[in-house]
Amino acid sequence: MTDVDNLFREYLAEHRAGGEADPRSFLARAEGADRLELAALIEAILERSPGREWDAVAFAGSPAARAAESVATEWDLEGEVEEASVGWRELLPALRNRVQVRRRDLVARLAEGIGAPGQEEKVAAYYHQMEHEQLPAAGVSNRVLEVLGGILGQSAETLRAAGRVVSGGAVEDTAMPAFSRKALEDPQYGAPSAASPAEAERTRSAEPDLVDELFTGGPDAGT
Amino acid sequence: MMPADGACGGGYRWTPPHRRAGEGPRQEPGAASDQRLLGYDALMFREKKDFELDRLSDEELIAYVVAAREAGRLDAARVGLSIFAHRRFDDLVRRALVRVPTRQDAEDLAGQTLEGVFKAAFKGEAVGEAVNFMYTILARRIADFTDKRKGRETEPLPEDMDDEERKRRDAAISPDETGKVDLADVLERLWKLLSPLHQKVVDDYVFDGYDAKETAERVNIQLPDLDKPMTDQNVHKIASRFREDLRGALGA
Repeated sequence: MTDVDNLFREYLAEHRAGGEADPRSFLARAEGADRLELAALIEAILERSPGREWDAVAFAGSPAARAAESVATEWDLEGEVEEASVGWRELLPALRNRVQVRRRDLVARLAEGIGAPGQEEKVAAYYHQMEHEQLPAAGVSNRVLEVLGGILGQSAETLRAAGRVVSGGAVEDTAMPAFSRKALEDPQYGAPSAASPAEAERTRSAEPDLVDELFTGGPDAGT
Repeated sequence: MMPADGACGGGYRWTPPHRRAGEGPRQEPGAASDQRLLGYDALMFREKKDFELDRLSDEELIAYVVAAREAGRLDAARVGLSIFAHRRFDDLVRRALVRVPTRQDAEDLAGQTLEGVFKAAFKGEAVGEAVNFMYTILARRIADFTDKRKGRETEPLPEDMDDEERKRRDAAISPDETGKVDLADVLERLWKLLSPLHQKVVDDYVFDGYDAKETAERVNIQLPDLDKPMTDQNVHKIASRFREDLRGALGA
């Protein structure tokens, strides 16, 4: 075997054993034409490598993890911009369809989650207003958004950002009703709840309670 | 030696034939997305467990990440990204270290490559043979890096750098040594000129590290209808000729 053969086999063995396999350590031991040949072989073997099996422990804190975090941070920043184009009117029904939960079931889970079991009707009225962008996002508590986000598979932050947007339009300080676009609903999951805007109005005019506070008292309400 | 299924230590695993380099052209950006062909799209997105993601090919994993992100599931997209990064990052760094002197530079280039792969995928560009696509991006980043370094004064080495690291810094292949020649491309071009039988011999003997006898046995098992059975002497001849051609093409 030539020196290049030996060096390459040695490299291959170290690479397969999960060692450092730093090509420079091997290239430093070859000269001239041998160096180029060895470099070509090493490049080829790296491009043919199947890569590492997933190992969450080894990944944590590794340079690969830092690189991935850097890429994901870019996505987050881009995502914030993207979120500003979709409001609750589009987002909430779409998320509901995606996780395949009926509105009445969502309302029941939401009521339970915010500590208001038995008040599904009132929660349904507020949720109805959210889906129609008739409830100011600034008034909705973190607790509501966290529970809702848990049901819909989204973060509370994402839901709040979407709540500041009028679907199809610009970001608003206060949520104004907007009817320019309508989200497509899967009829199976979009069955209308008992709540209507008129009922919602009646709900609002009653004596304020925990549910009112959580949906209109601001981010920290209920804490 | 490697067991029959190709599994071996150190987190290594079997390479499905379709993921071998050289079986598809180097992928250039710009083609339409093939996500739907791979069975992923945002509307149908379903989260997968780590172990399921780890079984996906690179192409499927990238398509999964794109679908997750489009579905607004950044958490799921991050998991897919992590598994892809863990799978590929170290080899990207090693590949960069053939050409750049410091590990920090190599890690930066590998990170940029990772970013480039997903940026292209998010734009709807087909990543096709993902490994080829990835190494094409890396080659461009390395070229940009070496161009920027040209004409710059050599930075002084840190005083506390050990001898081993000093040697390593000098070992990277410089553009002056190769001219415009892309070493990996030269090798792949030669490999493609081989017959399928000789490609198999080169794969097993040169790149998978089997010895000549094992290589001959493997070929004879997989191709039982050969006019003459493969012998270890033939393996040596085929491999030697390939290496001679490689040295010739590299100008050696």
